Amino acid sequence: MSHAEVVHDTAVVDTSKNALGITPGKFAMWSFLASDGMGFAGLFAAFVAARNHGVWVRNMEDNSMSLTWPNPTKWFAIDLTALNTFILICSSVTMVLALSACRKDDRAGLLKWLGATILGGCVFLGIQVIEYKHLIHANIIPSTDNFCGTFYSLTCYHGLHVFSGVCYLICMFIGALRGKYNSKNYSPIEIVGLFWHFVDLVWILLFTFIYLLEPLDLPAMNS
Amino acid sequence: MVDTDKIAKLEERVRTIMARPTFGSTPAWHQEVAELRVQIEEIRSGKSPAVRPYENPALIKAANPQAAVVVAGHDAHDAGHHEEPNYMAVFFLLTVLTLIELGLSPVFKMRGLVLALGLSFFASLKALAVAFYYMHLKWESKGMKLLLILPISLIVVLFVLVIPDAVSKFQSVMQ
Repeated sequence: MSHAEVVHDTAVVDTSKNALGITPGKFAMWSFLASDGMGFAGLFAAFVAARNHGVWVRNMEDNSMSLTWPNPTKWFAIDLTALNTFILICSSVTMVLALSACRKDDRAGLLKWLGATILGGCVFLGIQVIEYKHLIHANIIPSTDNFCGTFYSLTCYHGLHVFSGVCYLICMFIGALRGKYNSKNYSPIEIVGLFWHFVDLVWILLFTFIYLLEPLDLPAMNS
Repeated sequence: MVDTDKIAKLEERVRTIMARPTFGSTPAWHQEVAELRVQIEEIRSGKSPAVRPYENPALIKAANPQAAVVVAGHDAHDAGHHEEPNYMAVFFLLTVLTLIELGLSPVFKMRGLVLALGLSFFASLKALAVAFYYMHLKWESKGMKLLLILPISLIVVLFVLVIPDAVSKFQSVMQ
């Protein structure tokens, strides 16, 4: 058998027959992200519905109660959450740099940037735990009202995604340490990157709509 | 002298890969099998493994034009052979947009609906930048983009369904 025949026999793959022109792994990850995005959308819709109806909110200054939607900028430490957003954005850029290094057969770069991404994820989770600790100390717990219930549902669900992403990245890091990924086999790094960027994308929306969006100027509904 | 043990091991490896259920749809495994078979041929013929035919684009293209797409790089076809975007520029864009978002209320004194629209605009811009440049959606196939239209449409429908609830609440408040 000649070399040409060998190549003809085994390497002939019509890539157009792959799912939508991409590798099965990447297709599976995009499909998962599409369904996961709908899960987040469901929780977001619950948040919007709860927001429409308002909640009984305790005024921190005079301890009075009013039926409105809490102003998140007064409830949360926005500077801390903004820092967390910045960390997640940084971890997204380190993730693409890891993929870029892998495509260039730069193993040291791949390990460095993957490690930085894992570190970013861990710091994000650490800051989220600190935030929860402060909120719980202020008696802001999931059962307090609809706002707290939807807030904890969304942020915990996202936090679980970050935790899963960190575990996933650690698995990839171990694989990279063993030299499994290179310029001819970078698809697993690209797939974990898709997941990580999705987590970043969702946080961008959560940060804006939960932490920054103040209540609309509706007529006062004091009890 | 032909190393029969090594040949047997390589052939066993080829059989294992080809027995995988999704072998038919995984270009990387076809490539691996091709490489292993070339190695077997080299050992049998006693040739130097220095120049492999699957690393020679001209030879591959002569054998089969479609094979060249795969052999040029396992994953190259799905990356669309695009040049890397300027990741740092996207990073700075995301950082600047986040700072603008933070300043909309305290610095630019935006309130109410204007603030909501401003925040929605900047958040959407950031989300699109991540999806298109970091997730490389810009370079994905049309089919892949079409696949994502369905869940995004359903998400829009979900939020549209919340509008009557918001309107009725607003009307009851106005009364």
